[in-house]
Amino acid sequence: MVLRLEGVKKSFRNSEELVPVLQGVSFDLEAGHTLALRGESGSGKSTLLHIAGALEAADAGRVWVSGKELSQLNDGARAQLRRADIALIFQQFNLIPSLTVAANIAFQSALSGTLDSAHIKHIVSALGLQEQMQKYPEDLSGGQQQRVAIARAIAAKPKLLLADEPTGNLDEVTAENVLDQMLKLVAQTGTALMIVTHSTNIADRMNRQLHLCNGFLV
Amino acid sequence: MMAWCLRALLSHWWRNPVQLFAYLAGLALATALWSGVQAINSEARASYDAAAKTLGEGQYDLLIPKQGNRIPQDVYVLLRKSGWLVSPVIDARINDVRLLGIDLVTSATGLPNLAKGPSAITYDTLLANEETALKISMLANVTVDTSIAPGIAIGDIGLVQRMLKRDDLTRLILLPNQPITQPSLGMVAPNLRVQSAHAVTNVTELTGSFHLNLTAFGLLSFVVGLFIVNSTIGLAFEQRRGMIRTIRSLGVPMRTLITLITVEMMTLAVIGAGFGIILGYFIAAFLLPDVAATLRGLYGAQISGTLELRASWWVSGMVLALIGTAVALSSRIWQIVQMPLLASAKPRAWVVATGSRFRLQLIIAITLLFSTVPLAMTLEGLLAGFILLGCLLIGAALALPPLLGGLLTLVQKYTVAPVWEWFWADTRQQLPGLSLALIALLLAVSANIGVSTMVSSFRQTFIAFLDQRLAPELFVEVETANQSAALEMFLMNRQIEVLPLLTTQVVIADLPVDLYGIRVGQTYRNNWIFLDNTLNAWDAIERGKAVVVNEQFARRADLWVGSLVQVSRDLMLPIAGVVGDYGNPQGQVIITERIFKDLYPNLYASNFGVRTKDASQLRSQIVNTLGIKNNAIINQVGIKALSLEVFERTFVVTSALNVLTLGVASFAILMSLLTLADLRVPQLAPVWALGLTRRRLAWLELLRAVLLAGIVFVCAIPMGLALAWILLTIINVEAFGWQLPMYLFPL
Amino acid sequence: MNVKILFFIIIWPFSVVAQGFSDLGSRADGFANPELNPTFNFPTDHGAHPEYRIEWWYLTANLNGSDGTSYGLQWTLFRTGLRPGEGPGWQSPQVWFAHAAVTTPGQHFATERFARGGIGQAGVEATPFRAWIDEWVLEGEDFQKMTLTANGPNFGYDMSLQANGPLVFHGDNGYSVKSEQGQASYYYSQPFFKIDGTLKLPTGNIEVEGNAWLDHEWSSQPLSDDQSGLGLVLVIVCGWCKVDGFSTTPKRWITLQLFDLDLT
Repeated sequence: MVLRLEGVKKSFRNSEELVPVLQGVSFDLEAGHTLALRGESGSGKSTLLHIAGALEAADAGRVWVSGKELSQLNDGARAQLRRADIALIFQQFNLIPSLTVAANIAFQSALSGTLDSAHIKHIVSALGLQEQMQKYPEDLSGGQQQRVAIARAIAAKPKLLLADEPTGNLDEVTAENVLDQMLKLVAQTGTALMIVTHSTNIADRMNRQLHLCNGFLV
Repeated sequence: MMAWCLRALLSHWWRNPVQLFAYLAGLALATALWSGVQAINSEARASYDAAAKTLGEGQYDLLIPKQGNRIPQDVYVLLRKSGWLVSPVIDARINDVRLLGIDLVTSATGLPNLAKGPSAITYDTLLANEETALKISMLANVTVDTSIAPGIAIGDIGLVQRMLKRDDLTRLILLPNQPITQPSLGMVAPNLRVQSAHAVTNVTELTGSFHLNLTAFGLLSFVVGLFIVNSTIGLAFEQRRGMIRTIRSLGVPMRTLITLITVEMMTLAVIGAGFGIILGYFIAAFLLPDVAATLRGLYGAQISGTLELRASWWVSGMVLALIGTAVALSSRIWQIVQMPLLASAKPRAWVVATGSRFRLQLIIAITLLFSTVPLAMTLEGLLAGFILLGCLLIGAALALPPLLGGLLTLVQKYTVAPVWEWFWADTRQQLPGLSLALIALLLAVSANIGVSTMVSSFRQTFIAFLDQRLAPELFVEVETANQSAALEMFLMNRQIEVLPLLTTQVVIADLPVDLYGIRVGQTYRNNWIFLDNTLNAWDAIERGKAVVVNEQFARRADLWVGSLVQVSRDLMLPIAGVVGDYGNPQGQVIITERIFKDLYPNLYASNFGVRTKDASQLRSQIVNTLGIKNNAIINQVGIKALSLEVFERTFVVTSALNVLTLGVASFAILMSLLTLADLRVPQLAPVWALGLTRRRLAWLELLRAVLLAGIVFVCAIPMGLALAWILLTIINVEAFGWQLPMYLFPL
Repeated sequence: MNVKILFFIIIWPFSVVAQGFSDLGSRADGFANPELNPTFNFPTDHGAHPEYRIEWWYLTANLNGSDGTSYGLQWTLFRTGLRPGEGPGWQSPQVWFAHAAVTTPGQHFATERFARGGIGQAGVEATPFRAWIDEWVLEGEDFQKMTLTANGPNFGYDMSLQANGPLVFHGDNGYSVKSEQGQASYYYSQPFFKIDGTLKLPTGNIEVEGNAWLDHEWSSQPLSDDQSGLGLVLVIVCGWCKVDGFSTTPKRWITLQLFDLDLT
């Protein structure tokens, strides 16, 4: 089991009242499986993704990634887990603006010490980024930046890939294309994929779909 | 992991070279002036130490002539043969070098401290440091000894006498452990007197305040430099917020990240400070000749003209720069630690100062500014003066941003045109980002106004002072009593007004003082201006019923007009007047000629002021008729020129530092605007979209910069004048021993 | 042992070397050497011989106070030449130093003086006889009847001397051989002085009388090459150590030993 959530709860303090976002969420995700997380805006999809990605801590409940229970880990161990086992694709692409595309793509795998040039070359050509390697993120279009972020995530050969609206900034044709590539790459590496999306189209291409509503899975 | 993380951090500088430059240059400038000033100070201190060791001053009592500065060698032998254990010294100048002749055989205990040991002194070889050796190498064999004070060459007394073509001595060192029976000094050598070791004025003490002044300047520019460093560090952190968040989310532990950032910033700081130290060395080397000239002119202290790399100053510069950086860095790192991993990654572009922060700043500022009034009235001493300056400067600095903010809000309120309303609002919004740079500018401009006011006040006073003091057209120095009498007779016969000056060193009110005997006449009555005096002061002085003292004496002894002065054991006279005496460290007491002659019947006037319409003709008459050497006569114009030159050089250093500080502050403004420009683009874009032309926008941006600078200049004027007031009435009195009248707006 | 003495002696031989008188250790340094079968010319020979390297006038006395207490007294004037002969003023190569001491049964008082030749601060003249450094003086119309003074920070003395016997010549009629290599000095003594006067001590003045012995010796001890100037230093330092340590019974052999030490 790559990811397991058990009764996860999370609330945010909004000026005076406590707003519950997740009210007890449990599910599993196995290696090589794909999962779409759907729900309305503000239903807590991103929060759930962040908790699964060890970026935020749950208020209650337990989360296992690669068999490790997150609440038992300190900052260093969580960071270790993030760079070795998890990869994230954010809504805002979160590239490092002062590094070239090539350096950005290699960054996470270099951090975890799993830099694989051949693998990266393969990903880059699959995503059609060969021409952009020496450019800086600010020179790229939104779609290109999104593909760089995807390339970076996959290049690290994570066990768990978490993507938050990865094709939200892309036109329909490009989005379809990028998703194809992503699924192909995930299938090749046996990575577990959880994707947050509004798009029925995308959700339908996953093994499983979960709907988040008022903090509960329905 | 480390390498890639560091690569990401450093790539920021690569992509933002202006920021990197601002950071390095800020550090370099801060370190440069500070270490430059410290380099000068440590060079001077080393010179004073070497001089004290070389001359052995202040260790032993001395026998010196009551008049003049020559002791016949026979008197030395007679003293020794009477059981007075003294050691002879001859001390005179040749080629701008002070030649010190000593007798090693008798002066073993009072020996100078030499690097090569006393064995280096031989019958025909002088010892001097490298610089001095070059100046006299054509006159004698010189062995280089680095421990010898600059400008001094030491040799055997016989050699020095031969070089000077003299057969007499300058002073005798009174050795400890005198024998049990001894005739009195008056019986053996009636023309000598004992000068106590304590009576020698300590150069280090005298010049201490001057160096403190330099240090204060160094510190000021250091602070301004740190403003730059602090703002670039702030900007770099704001801009790298997103990157830091990304790096963390990609799995770099917080601890690693903080370590790397610290290493990165501190390494850059070392590089910047290193440049600063190199720059400081050049600044110091450039200023040193003028500092040396000033110290020689004002205090007679010799300091070396060449700069040495002493650990004391460059280490202090480096350490201070690193501490400054660390302080600026720590608050930013604290912010990162506090920052949740998923906090907004948008650069906030400077911490937005809230109204409450401005209020707090204003309260502190007002407290500081108001505390200067009681401080000015109660505290004494140089340090207090600097505390006062500190309160004033920090208070004003803190008050500036809230005041500007208030002003802009007010203007905005009464503006109707939308463009201008936007303009004022936008200016106010930028204020927090610019405030540090504006403060730096305020400090630098006020310091500039303050120091310029002081220098100009000093110049006006000093020139007026030279005019009153140097009224006689000729000044003649004679060597013997016969010459003295002959000159006076010669001039009296021609009915030329002559002003004999009798002088001797005495101790009055426990202070070493120059006692003068003068002939009160029209020249004194018309030209001398008292700082304070009784009615008919000159009449009282002429009748021998009162004395005049200089301000230095009055301040040190705390004796003013009306106080009684113990002129000699049996003579107590009131002070009838206090005169200003600028550029002289020594205290003076002036009495009428008649009383002086009663007190010291053996002394004759060795200096004369002569009033004449035809100076050059009289000069040649005196030379031809009386056999007085031509170079013993100086005309008034020459002295004035010389004095003014000393004066000008005194303030070369001050104004150079002044300009440099202003340069650093301008640089701070420039850097702030440059770094802000990047962040301003998104803010300007909507206004541009709303129909303002680029050209108009550029003009508005320029106008804003000019406007802010203008307001700062206006604020700096009262600040600068307050600064000048503190410099003139408190710091200057403590540093130099005299007070200057302040001339407003002499610029 | 006073550091000053050491210091002083070390300087001058070195400075001579520095000036190029490098063959100080050989005989060819310009100093005269004592010759066999000397003919002394008095009173001139009571005075200084600057053509010889080293010379001293050395007086010791055994004294008794009126209460029978024994005292010892010593007065020495040394001359050493850096070069033979005299020079004008400070250029004189002669250096003088002197030592004076008084011992009581429980205490030892000693002091010393230093002077350059050529300026009149110290010297020895034959007629009338006058040996002086600062205010210390040994003088008389001739060598028969003299007065002696010395002062220090805590003691002093004023004495009168009256010779009641002939001069005694050491060695071979005053030619005194010091080593097998042939180094020698001129050396005579007046061992038969009656002495009386006042010792000025911290406890008060004491009238004393007794016997005194005056040595006058001069030579140009060439120093062996390997010892160079230091030989002279060692000799005189050792000499002074012993002088400082001398007891109420002056040990006459000290002076004799000085030269022997030099040559070993």
